[in-house]
Amino acid sequence: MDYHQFLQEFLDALGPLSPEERQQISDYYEEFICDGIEQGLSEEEILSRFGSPQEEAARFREENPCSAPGNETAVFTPTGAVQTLDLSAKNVRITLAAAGGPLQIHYRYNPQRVRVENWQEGSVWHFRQSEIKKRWWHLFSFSAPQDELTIFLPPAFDGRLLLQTSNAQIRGKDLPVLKQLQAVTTNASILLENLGATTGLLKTSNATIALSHFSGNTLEIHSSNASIRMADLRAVSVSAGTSNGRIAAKKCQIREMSLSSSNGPITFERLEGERFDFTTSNAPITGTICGNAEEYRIQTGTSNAPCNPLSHSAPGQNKTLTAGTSNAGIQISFVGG
Amino acid sequence: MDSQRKKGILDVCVLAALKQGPSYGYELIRSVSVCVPVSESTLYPILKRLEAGGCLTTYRQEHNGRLRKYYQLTEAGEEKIRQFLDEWSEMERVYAFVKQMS
Repeated sequence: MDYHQFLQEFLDALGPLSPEERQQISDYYEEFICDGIEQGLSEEEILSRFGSPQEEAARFREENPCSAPGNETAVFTPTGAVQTLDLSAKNVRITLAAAGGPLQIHYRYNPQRVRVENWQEGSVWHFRQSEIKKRWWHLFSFSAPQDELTIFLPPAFDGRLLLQTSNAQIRGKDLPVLKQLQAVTTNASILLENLGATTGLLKTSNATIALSHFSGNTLEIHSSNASIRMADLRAVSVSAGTSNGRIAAKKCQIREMSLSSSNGPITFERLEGERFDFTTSNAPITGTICGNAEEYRIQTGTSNAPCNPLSHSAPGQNKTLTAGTSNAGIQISFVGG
Repeated sequence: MDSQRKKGILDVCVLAALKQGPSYGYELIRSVSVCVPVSESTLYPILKRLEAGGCLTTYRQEHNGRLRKYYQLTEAGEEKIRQFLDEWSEMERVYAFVKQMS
């Protein structure tokens, strides 16, 4: 049997595949065979590694649960009008997407490995995903095969989204304005762009949170051991905290803004607001605020490094700027709006 | 080694094998197999997953009249290696505990 024939039988034995994936797998194996031949092995020697095409196909299917038939995308729709989606999952990446049609959840999963329940209670739609078999390899969080779930939001949806997953990213773009957005995960980033929520909570660990073009009322952002990046935010109050990571904010209009880190710098550019509170340690605080320094009651402090501006206050000042760090400088300047 | 356990560890072995520079499938199997024996069918989902997770990127380059696929470590991939090394100290404590208890 030559290798073309081997590949043909192997691909046939794999069962139904998308044409794209079939091509990818074919290219992948062909490359190994060509490289083996170049290394001086004979075709038979190389093919004998695999056993029969059917044996290799069985092994391949076992190692590639996502390519195996049985993993299909299920579409979930609520039974009535929904004001709140309450979703909890594990090891599932969540994507929020704008939809022209109704509110829907698309979830590609293997029913032998994962159980999904969803039910509606009044206007609350509950969606629970749980794993039937515990997979120990989540100890190495990043190596878990990730399931993908997409929530399609119609432009008129203005309710609450309460999302909880773990070890997987939450991301979304161009979304409607919600009453409440709660996005909680672990060990993976949260990336959101162009959306609104009256109240927002974004929380992860050991990974970055990036938020841009957001408008809302109150917003809380928490991570650890990683950075938080914010750009073009409009809100009444924003509080963002991490540890051992940078916090960066750019072009935000926020009445009350509190940024806190440790061992990570705080940098900002063109912030507008009435109360700023920046706290970190062992790292600098630098940035620009749009406005007049005279209007702010300023309280700044660091150690072993230059500090500008220095604390000062005068009667009649109703805006405040507080900045504290250690072993690194503070450099904040005021620029014209 | 238990096959699931192997899978988890192989992810980071593959990333580590790319630390010295871009590589291709055949070479990757050879370099990773020095540490953990790995087959074509095992490597395929690992590469796909690492690529989907942004830990590596791929490109094709001509080699002996054909286009060979190369895998290249990204910044996110390097971060995963660092994370693994950090997590490892924790795993060592778990290992010591399990060993001591059994």
